[in-house]
Amino acid sequence: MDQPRLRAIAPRGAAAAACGLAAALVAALMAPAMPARAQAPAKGAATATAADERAWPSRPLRMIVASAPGGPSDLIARLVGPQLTDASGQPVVIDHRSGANGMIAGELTAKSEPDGHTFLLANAGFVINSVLYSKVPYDPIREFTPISLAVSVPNILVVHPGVQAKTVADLVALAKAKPGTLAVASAGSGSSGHLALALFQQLSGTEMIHVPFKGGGPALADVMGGQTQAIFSISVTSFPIIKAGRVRPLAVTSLKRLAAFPDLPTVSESGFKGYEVTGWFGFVAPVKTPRSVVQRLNAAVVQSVRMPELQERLGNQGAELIGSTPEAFGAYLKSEQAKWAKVIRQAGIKAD
Amino acid sequence: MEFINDIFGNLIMGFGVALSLENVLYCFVGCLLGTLVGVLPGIGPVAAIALLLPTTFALPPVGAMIMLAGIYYGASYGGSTTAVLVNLPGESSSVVTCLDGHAMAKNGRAGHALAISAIGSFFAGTVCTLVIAFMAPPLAEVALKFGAPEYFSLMTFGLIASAVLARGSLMKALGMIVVGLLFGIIGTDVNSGMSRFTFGLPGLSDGIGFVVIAMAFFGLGEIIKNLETPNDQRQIFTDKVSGLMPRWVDVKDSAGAIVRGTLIGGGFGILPGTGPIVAAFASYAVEKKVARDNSQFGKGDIRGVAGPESANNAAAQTAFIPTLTLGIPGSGTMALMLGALMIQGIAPGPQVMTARPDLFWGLIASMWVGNLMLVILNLPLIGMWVQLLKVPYRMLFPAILLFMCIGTYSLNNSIQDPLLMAFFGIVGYAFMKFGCEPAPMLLGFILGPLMEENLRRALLISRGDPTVFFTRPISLAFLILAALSLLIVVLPAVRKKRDEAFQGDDGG
Repeated sequence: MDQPRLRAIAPRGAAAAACGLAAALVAALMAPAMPARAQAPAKGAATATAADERAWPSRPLRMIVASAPGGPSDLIARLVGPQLTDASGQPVVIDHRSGANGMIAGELTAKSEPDGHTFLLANAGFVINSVLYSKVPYDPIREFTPISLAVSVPNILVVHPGVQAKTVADLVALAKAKPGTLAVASAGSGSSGHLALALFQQLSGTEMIHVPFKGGGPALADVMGGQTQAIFSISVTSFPIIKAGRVRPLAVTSLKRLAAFPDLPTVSESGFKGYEVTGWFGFVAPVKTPRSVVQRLNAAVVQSVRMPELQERLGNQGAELIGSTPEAFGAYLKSEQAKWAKVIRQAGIKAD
Repeated sequence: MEFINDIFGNLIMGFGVALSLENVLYCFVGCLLGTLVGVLPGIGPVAAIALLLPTTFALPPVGAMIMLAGIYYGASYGGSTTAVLVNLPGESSSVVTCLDGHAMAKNGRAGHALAISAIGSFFAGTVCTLVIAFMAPPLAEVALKFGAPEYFSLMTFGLIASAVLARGSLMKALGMIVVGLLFGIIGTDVNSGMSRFTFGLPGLSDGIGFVVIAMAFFGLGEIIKNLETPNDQRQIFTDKVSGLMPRWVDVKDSAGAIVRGTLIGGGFGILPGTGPIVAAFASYAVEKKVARDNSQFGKGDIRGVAGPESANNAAAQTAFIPTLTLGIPGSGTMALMLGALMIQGIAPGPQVMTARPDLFWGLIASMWVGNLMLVILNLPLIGMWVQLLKVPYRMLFPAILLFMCIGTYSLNNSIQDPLLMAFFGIVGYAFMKFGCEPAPMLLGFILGPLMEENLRRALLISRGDPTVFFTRPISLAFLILAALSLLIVVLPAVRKKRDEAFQGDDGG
């Protein structure tokens, strides 16, 4: 079990680290020079597609991750990677392409060979960007084919223990009594926490100060220190802090209560019916990836998110392991895009 | 008393864990790999850990964390080696080491510089390990007291105090700080999410990497400068390598710097987001200010190596405090370490200390073991590194260039970073020709964006009320310190100008 795991999740170049640094460097240097096409078993094949269908997977799979190492995307990639290896029989190379809010990774994926060997671990920003930015180098719906929604991570609305609010209603009352004084931190402009706040303000008719940070960690620390009063923080990060009593949880932003935290009400049941904001991580491939390969990738992803190991490591931290069908994921992407387009327009959030 | 006993009991348990043959081995392998990777320019701790993380998955959690910590220290130390030898900051926090470390190498004292940096780092590591063992939870509370106004005032103080970094003209130094500020604001504005000066290039939307700019200004600049001088004159550099081990007088000279560096670094380390780079700059500034004779700074003063090296190691160490006690990573490296914990099935956070005492105390004990290991590993290696200087420059510089390109490429797996480095190399060379020092520019580059972010955040929270900087005690204290250092910096300059005027000098 341990051996294939080791091999499996090596990010680019790292597999070679054990065999020697020089090899790793060569690999790091060579990798961009190897277009997907160069390795495809194209010899003698009438059509590349037909050959790929039979041959998939014929070489290591490349999972493009839209963020730098560290953080939830990386974690999920490293956890799902080995399971995909077991399911496909090929090592999965994790390729971190951070930058431009995930758009560099998105563009790279959209332009790679649609043979099922390259796919993207997309997150909520994947569709939100398309409404947030005026120039996005890809269309998340038209240029991609969905594989599966792997993990859904709700936000938890938490407040500093000094804030006089034990429920969502208390917080709304507080915000209405003193409009524009409650400072709510977020992981950044356009982040899922920011949108959660924007939607919450729209539905509750309150006015709070949005205080963006560079990343969820510093934002949560600011709330722990009482500099800002509240934050919609992703469940996985907030759980340990809540358990230690450093912040007070008011509600979860998913439609259903969390299995790992059954006492915590949802925002939806706290008077804002239908309120739902969840971060998510799912797999998409370039649009022309053959149907049969997508099915097989889907099966591999579904199988991997059902592993008890993942349940233990992510499920118990407030994440929900899903593993949906390509069709369901496609519909979800469309509904997310429509929903955020409306919220973003109404709140006047812009980036460029 | 009981509290102290408890901690000693825990530490003994920790050493029991860390000194098991298996864990000592993991620690050694981690330090070795970290050093080797860290020596490559541009591949700092984050890249090293990201690269080597998978090798730890098969290990038990304690072993994995110990090995990762070893990689972290090793990479931090490895970065200083190239800074001293070839003026190339192997990772961001060793930029300051370039200033005097490389100058020492030019004077034939590379061995001394490397040794004192190992000794200083070990001292800082030892002190900060104890600090973590005894005071981690209360220090984490102190860090939480730092809101946007405090950060802003601290940075203001830092920026002003560091004006002493300037070697030549104060005007040029100020100009370079402004240049640094301007480079620093390239990218996405945190508050509004708007792009600034990105020219539509998606790769610029996250700003220019510090490593890219530091390697361009120091490493590339140095190479171009060296190639300017004809071959026969360049040899001076390699001929006179005096002893490897520092003389007693060096150690005595550096002792104060090491202690001060440790204090400064330990303090900055607990504040997420500032960390080792700022600590190293601050320490250098302090050393230059407290030295009775500071004429040798920038020309190879051993205190200019000892202080910042101790400071960045101390900060690297205390950066574990928010990570371990609160579960909040203070840096990219720490985020990776937390990720590693989660992959091992341990939820990071305040409860790790009580739920997994073997992990917590074992890690703390292994920090010290790791620091000791680094000294044991590196002192003998110094001889080997110094030999590197004997390689003819015409062979050395293409190799350096190659590694710089690999290093910058590895930052984002993107060709853009090596290209940017090449561009800034030319810019840096031009500045050098005009006699403008890169150090103040880099300081502006780091502090500028942090200051802006915190200034605007502070005003956002206070709803535009600027008195918030003066009504909060910690913030006020830093502003007073800033005002005092402004006086100290400006007064001699004014006096000097006047003296020069009296002598009919044009002042330059």
